[in-house]
Amino acid sequence: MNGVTLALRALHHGEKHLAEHLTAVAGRHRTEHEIHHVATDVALWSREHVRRLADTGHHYGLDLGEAPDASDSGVLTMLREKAAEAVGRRPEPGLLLLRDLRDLHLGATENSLYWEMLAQAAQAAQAAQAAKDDRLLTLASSCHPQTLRQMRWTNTMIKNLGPQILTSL
Amino acid sequence: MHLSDKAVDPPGEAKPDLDIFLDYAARMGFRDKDGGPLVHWHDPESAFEAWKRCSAGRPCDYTGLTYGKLRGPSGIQWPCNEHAAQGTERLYTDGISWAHPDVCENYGKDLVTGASDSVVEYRSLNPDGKAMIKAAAYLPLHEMPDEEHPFQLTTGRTLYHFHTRTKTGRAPQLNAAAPDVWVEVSAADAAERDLNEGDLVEVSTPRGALRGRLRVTDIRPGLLFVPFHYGYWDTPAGHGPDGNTPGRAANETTITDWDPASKQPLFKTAAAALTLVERGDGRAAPAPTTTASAPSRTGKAGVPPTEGGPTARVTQSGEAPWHGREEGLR
Repeated sequence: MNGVTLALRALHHGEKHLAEHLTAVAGRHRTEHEIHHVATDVALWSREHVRRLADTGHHYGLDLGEAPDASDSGVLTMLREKAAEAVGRRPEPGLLLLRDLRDLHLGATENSLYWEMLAQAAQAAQAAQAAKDDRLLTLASSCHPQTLRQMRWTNTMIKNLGPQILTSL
Repeated sequence: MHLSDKAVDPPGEAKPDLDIFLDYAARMGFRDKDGGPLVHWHDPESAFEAWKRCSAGRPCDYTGLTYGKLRGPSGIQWPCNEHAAQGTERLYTDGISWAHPDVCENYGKDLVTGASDSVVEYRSLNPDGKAMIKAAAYLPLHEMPDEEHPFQLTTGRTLYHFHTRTKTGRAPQLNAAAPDVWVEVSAADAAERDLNEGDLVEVSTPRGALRGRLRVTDIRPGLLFVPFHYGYWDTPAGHGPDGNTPGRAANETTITDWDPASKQPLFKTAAAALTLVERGDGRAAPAPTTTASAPSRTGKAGVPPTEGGPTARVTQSGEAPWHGREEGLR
């Protein structure tokens, strides 16, 4: 185990968790249409990251699993969405939504920090060795911006939705 | 800017919108910072004078406009102020300064998530305030066709109508060309489902359903098209479907979704099912045979061509007087 494999494992775990969390939030807030659709869209980014991390992990002797399909969540998703429709119009879901957005933001921030660590470790390893291995830097430079966009999205939604939710308590 | 004067008096006891607004402002007792009445205009022209003061120094500066100038031979292009007393023919001949990070009030958004860009990001991306081309990666449809709803429904317009037909529906030739809703399907899909021109079909989506007569066209297989102009104001029911009036409003079937950056609703798409309600009686669908709703070239002949008829024809003499801007009058 070295710094790179540690970061790859942490990222694989973190992106898988974020993908599941985004999908759960999309279901829980089915009646907030913009949240539902955008959370579903940016979950695709995290799923893609998981796939690419697993792929890259092979080159470092890691056996990281693929993320479950969106379609695997099945019954649980349906139950969440039905519950969301039932309570969606009452004020309490607003607070729940703010908490969910905050937690998503923190999850994306964790991933962002690990992407930075991975990029730093990759550059240090490249400097120390003669062999050029761009694989990790390519992975980080194409995935990290999407993680930052996930963070900016959750931040913007908290700013946009906060005033109405917090002043109507 | 053009001045549009009142054309007719409001009917019956109806009041002009401005009078209602002024009455409301007076009754609410709205005050400005100095304690005077907030709304201190009393007619369109004095309201315009107040608006001119709001626009002073802004990109759309109107301070040089007056009703007198606007009653001249032509409209006047803003900005119109002391630097451009006759208005401005072309904007931005020296480039655009409004997008400079020091000047602009907004820094753009992520086109996929709608997240606001910060001034720091914008300044590093576009320090000189140049035009930017932003791209967004492809995303799959939020509602894909499946077994239950195997078609992609797309909605849109016909050349013969504008929006809800409150004007075009009252032009006899336009109304005759497209009097009611229809459903377009490809020749291949129609053949596969044994559906023909003029059959009454139902298009249903997770949100709702509508009924219309079928027009077989050369549209792409897997796709259905329905025009969105047909609501209920001119039906016996008046405002929605009922026992005698089936659903026909295309926008009631589309997905509840919008673009996160611009907030524009997606009144365009849905996954849809298509079912036969009743065989046609030989009459064609009420769709124009011109433009995109033209019958399929591979289909059966016999749809009567759309025509304006004698009342739609005009004559024009050789020498038409030109009421354009004349330099001397300015």
